[in-house]
Amino acid sequence: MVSGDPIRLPLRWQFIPVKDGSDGTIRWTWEAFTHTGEPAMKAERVFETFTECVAHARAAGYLGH
Amino acid sequence: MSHEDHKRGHEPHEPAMSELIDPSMFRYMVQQAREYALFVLDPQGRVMTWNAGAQRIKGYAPEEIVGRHFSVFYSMDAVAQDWPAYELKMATREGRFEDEGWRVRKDGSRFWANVVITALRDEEGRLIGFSKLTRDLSERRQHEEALLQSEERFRLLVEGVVDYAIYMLDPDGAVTSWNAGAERINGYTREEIVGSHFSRFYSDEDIDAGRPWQELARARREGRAEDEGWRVRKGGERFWARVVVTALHDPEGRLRGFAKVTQDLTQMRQLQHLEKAAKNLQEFIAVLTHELRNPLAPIRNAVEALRQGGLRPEQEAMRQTIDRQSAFLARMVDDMSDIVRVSRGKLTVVRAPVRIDTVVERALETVAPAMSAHGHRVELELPEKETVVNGDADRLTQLLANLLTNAARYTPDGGLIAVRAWREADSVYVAVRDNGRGIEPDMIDRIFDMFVQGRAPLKRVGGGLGIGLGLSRRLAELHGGSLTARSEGENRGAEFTLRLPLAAAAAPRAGRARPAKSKAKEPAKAEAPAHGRKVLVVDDNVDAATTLGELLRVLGHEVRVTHDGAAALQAAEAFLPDVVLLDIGMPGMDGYEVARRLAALKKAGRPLRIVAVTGWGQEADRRQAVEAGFDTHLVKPVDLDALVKVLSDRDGALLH
Repeated sequence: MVSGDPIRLPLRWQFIPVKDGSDGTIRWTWEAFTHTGEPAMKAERVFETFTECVAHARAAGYLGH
Repeated sequence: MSHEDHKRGHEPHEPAMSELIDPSMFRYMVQQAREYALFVLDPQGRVMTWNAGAQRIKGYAPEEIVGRHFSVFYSMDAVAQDWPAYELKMATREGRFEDEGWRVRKDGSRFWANVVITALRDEEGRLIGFSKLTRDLSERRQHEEALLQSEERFRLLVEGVVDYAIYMLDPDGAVTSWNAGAERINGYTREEIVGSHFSRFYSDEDIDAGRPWQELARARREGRAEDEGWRVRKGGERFWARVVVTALHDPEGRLRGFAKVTQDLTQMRQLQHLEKAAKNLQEFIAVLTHELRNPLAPIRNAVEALRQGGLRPEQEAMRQTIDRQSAFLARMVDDMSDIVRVSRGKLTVVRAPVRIDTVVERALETVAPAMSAHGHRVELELPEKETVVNGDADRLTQLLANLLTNAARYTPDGGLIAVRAWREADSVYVAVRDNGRGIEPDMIDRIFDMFVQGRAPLKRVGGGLGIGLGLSRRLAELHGGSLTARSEGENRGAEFTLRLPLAAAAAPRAGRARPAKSKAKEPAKAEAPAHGRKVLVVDDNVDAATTLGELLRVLGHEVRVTHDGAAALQAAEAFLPDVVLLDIGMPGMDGYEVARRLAALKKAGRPLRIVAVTGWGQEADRRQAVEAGFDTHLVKPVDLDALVKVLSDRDGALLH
């Protein structure tokens, strides 16, 4: 029996360093794209550390979490 | 009567020996002598008698050989040449014939014989036959042949040696032999040089000084003479030579000449000079690193102090410029320290279980400013399963940060840098790929060499010293791993792949590594203790001391600043500091001495932490500081995070 569900390819997750204009510190955000390059999701906020940013992306599905 | 008188008195009456000995004794002597073959031939060469020695040497019993022609003792070749007849002819004519050569035994085997044939004549002089005496000299012959072969082998060996010039001189210094090495090193062929005086290999000034003759005189006097110095090849080119001259004497002690062995050490000497130059360069870099840390320290202190606010926007922009550029300088100084460690073989890693995703995240935090400045994005793919290596978290972070910094530097703005980590067999791989300018194929192997930049940076500023990749590979190797590079060519990006062995399954569970370095700027306020400490800053560099003091005040501490050891000790008595930040290299009383005296206060029960703040960052410097009584050691320019930790940490030293 063949599943009728569409095939769901994993997204491409990109992490972007963002410089804060007020104090010059670097914060992070993330965006996810389909493999055809279409935007799929984004964080809508910036994170103090890269680790926090990755953790947030994980919660959104990065690495299958 | 004397013995002589006795002899003289009796001589005329003594019988002749032949009268005393029975003639049959001679016959027995001949028949039974075993060392020599003694037999008689008739005038035609047929064997007439045969003794024990003949039987032993030639193998025939008397009944087998008597009556046969003596040519049976010769090889077929000798018989074909009529050699036996020639021997008899010569013995007949000359009375005696002696020969040495191969003869044949009854069993066909050969032996080397010395043969004496004597013509026997009667009282009228008629030839009645020949006596033949044969000695078996096979052993002597074998020995001589072995000696000849040995000499030949030795000659061939000497002649074939090309790494050394080996030749002989006569007692006056004229060349008498010449090997291949001599031809290679000195440039003359055997025909050109044999017979010439060996002073041709010396410079004019050495000849004027009489050095060739002095060398021979010393060898004659002491048996051998060794020398090292410039010599001259055929074309006039000089080479650095090590020479040994040995005097050769005959058994009677007469000087027969000299053996001379010359080694061309030009390349070795050049190598020694290069090594010395490299060592000097290392020393220079070590001193330069120290000297650069001193001016950097007050700059970094001042920038950190200014960070605390109160600047107009345009001033803040300038502060950030100073911050970025001085941080870049500080990183270069750190890299230079690592060069010194690598070149001295002192680069070490402190290994513990560490998660690879933590290392990647920390490295990305470290390079975030560079990524941001270039507008790069990072695509990250980490293994889902927790992946642990046994490594030095700081050094692995440094390694990956190097790769990421390179990727950011060599990729046009708005580029994409992909970091992918995966497990394979017993290893974890971390690949950093960019879509930048790539690496020329002929540079791939060279980019890991120190001071080589495989690709021109997009902007000259921030090009670095060309040591990052060399250092990174060394770090990978220190972890039992490897670092490789590949690129499809110019403008087609590059990929660097780090391989590290996975930690053994039994390894303790790895913790998350400490926060990334770039975040040190943030915790400065957050981690500062609720109450300020009393801090004594001691540094003869007034700028360094003042700015560090200002930074500490901004962080909420009470500070005293002094610029020499004596003032520091007085302040320690009057001010009663919790922490002393003490420079080591001060004129007069140095930091070590001040630390020793302060340590005495600690022993008296005063809570006090003594911290070395110095430009010397090698492991030996840290050890020496601890031995002198310092509780801890900070390297200039002081990392704010480390400074905050020292001021707040209650572990490991007296601090209330």
